[in-house]
Amino acid sequence: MSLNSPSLKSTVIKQSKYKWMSYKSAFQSLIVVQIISILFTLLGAASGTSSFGLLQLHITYSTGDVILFFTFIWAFFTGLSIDRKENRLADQIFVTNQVSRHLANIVFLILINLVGMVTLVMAGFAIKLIIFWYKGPDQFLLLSSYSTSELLLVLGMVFLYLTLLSSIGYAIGSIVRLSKVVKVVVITTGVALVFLGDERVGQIISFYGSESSIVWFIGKVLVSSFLAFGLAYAIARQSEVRS
Amino acid sequence: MSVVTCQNVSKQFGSNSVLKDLNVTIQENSITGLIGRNGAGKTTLLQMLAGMLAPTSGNIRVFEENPIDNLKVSANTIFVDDDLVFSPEMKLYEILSSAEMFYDNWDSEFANRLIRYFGFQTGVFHDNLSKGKASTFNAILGLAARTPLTIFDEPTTGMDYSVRQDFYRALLKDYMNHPRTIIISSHLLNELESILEDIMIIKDGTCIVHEPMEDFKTYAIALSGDYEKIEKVVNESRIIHRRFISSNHAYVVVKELSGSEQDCLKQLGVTQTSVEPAELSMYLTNETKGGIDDVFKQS
Amino acid sequence: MIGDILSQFIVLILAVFTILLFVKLSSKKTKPIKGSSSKGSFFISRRNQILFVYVGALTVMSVLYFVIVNQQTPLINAESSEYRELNEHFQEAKQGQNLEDESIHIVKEWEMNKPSGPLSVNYNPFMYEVNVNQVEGLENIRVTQYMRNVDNQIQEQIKPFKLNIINNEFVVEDVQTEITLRAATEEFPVRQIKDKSLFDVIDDDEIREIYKQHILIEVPAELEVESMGQ
Repeated sequence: MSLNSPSLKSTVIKQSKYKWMSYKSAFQSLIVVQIISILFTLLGAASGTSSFGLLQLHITYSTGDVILFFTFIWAFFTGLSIDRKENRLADQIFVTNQVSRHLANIVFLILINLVGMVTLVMAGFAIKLIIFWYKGPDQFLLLSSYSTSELLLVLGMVFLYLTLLSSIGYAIGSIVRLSKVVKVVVITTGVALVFLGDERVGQIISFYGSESSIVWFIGKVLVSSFLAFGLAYAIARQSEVRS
Repeated sequence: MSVVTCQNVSKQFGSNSVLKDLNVTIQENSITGLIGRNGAGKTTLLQMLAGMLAPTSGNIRVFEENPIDNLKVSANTIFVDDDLVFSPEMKLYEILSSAEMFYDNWDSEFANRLIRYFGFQTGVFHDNLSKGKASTFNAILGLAARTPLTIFDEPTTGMDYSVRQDFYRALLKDYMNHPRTIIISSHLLNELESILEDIMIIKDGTCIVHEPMEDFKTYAIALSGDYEKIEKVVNESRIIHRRFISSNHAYVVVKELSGSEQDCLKQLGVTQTSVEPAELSMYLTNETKGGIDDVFKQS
Repeated sequence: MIGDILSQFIVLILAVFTILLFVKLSSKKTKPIKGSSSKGSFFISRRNQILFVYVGALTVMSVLYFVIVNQQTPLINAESSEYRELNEHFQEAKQGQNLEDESIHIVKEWEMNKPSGPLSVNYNPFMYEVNVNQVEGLENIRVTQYMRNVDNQIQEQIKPFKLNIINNEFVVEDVQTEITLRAATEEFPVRQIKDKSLFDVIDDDEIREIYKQHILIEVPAELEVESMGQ
């Protein structure tokens, strides 16, 4: 029987398709999270009262921001869990090696982030449309309308954020899988930092979130994601060769 | 051409040594039965061949390459056991179409016929199959993939008797139509016997027998008679199995007797009979020469 | 204020809820009990259809959003070129007292009888601006409340002042205009690029400037006026 020598590229493509079939719950959590955040935005949203001389404005803001942040969390957890043991075993049944598995994971994350990007931006518009219908034009105010370039901008930036978060999740996932002790340490430290509002967390967020230059933002995100995926690969390789 | 070569392969899990200095070569286009007790190291060896585990020391070559992290080996090998972890989110037909996508030699016509024959509904999740059904499905996957190296690790666990027979028959027929290298492990030789070309027995992490099935049939001989007389001719170390029928009358299985020894025993009134391979493999894999009887022996 | 705290509270609860949800999803057991139906199999079985319907529904709504809502005149922004142009025209029209100009939105006009003595005008320059103009051949006092014509819902709802002349004094009675609105704003990444912070959606100074009310008092030329800001 003649031997097959598949190329890495064709294997990665096949494996990405396979992941699309075998990891449907990622889509489920995406939709669940977005629907919850849509409902939440419709129920209550950030509001502010401002007095401008004799004019008193009570404005309730409607934006897709809540969906945005919830989808960011989703991207983080998707990156975190995509290479978990069950998924790795399911990959092993068919043709795979480590490089192809990690590349397929990354391709899959990018694909599902594209879905996340499109749905989350559109969910923001859906929310505003529903509120507009409900309130009527007399009580609805557009603070700024979207131009085509802004639409492309928001899509692109949302995608970059999702990629950044899933790559960080992927890296943390591979660290956490090193051992049970590491897992506990990482989770407690992470939760403590976030809930105690450590200023370093704020610094990290503003490193990306306050960057108003598009070029710098793209640069920061791409470099960070690349490093995170690279780190994840290096760690995973280390720990697998050992076993 | 040898498909699998193991040189001085050892594997330890912590302080537990599972394989010790194993040397094995498996030729292309053969069906090899890997026989051994639970814990003898069968699964470890097969997983190493499939590149799922790395040996602690020694050298493994599959298709003349290191199987660890090797795309070529992965593409030409399928490893099937009763415990394959499929994604819980895939239905059977999705698993089959994935297999078709991954394996170039996949025969979907053949797979579908087997699926229909064994009465599978392809719209169910793999997790919802019963143990025996899951084993059958996995075996179908292994057969239809037609990979140059096909590894079945205890594939028949949980299968009905008739399904087992069907599986072995399907395996043999498909092997004859599409010759390839098949390794099939089992703790029993019984039902496998008729389809094997080679037999490999491992015990305590070492390969104690590896020969063609034909040779294995004459590997040992059973002696029945006065134990003291037998002992005079046959060295204790050559005895594979020993069972006392009465206080001095024994049934002894020994490895290859020379012509002169045979004559000598005949004169001493010891009857010589051939040993069924299944029986022999059981004796070979036993921990003690006397089998379970040793437990009841008062010393 | 209470609304703020409440919404933050809800955000916190939902965040915790989401994290729990994710933990549950990501810690799914390797092997569910054989023969039991997989959890969430409703979605898993119909993933493509559900995804298709979800994306389809969102697409329809987004298209409607762009057709209906995005065409509305947005709240003007002090940095926008539109506003700068409007402001230029407004200042010009104000200088020239050309209240007919397009850049001016008239809230209300009054006619008042001129007092017998000199008129004194007191006003609050922070809340509104008053200009007094003496016009030849005018019989009575003419008062106009106006503002920049920003062409949106807010200006339509601004209430006119209550004006009186009591004992030769021009009195402006403050009338608060209270407006409750739902406002749609751009998403965070767009604000980020526009260098606005995450939570600063509206610039207060901008709004104050844009919606400032002006009063023009036109009096007969012979009437003596004493005007002072407080």
